[in-house]
Amino acid sequence: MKSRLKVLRAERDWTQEQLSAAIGVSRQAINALETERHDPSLDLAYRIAAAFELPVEQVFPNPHCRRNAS
Amino acid sequence: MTDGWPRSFSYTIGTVANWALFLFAVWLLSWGSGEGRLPQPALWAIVLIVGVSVAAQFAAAYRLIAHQDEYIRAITAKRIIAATGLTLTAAVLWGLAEQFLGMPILPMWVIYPLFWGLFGAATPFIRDTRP
Repeated sequence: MKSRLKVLRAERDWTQEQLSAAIGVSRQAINALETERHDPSLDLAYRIAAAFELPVEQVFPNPHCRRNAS
Repeated sequence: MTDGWPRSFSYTIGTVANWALFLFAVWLLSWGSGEGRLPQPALWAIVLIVGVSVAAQFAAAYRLIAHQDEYIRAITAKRIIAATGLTLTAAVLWGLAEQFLGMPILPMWVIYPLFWGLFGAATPFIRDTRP
């Protein structure tokens, strides 16, 4: 699943370690999300969105929504 | 000592202990069964110890998976499924070859180290949790 995780993290100057600690997952999990090797559960997507103080869809664009398809 | 991600410190300790017990017990059986060095009840007790070490290792692996985050849990489960499939395939092929093609008879307990060996071999190739 595509995400804006890497961009949002870079904007805040956070490392993968810092984000993983804030969310309560491994650094490997953050890396897997950024490289599209893992689709997050709804719970994890909400936790990540909460860490960035953004709605979920601004972190993980809905792939089933036509306006995000391009 | 804190057990940070991937929360595997206690698993590593348990794994080393279980494998040490397994290897020592197999060696002891091999030594003790030769020339009647150990009585039959002692050999049975050692066989049970091997069984306990195998069960304990799988219990440790289960606990490890239960305490991981969703990514590591999913990827570990995927690797275990791959290792199980490869192990059973090898066991069935070899078993049939033993029975019908005269291949040498291997002791059934080698399935256990074979499984973990295949788990390790599969690990670098399975890095994606998606189907």
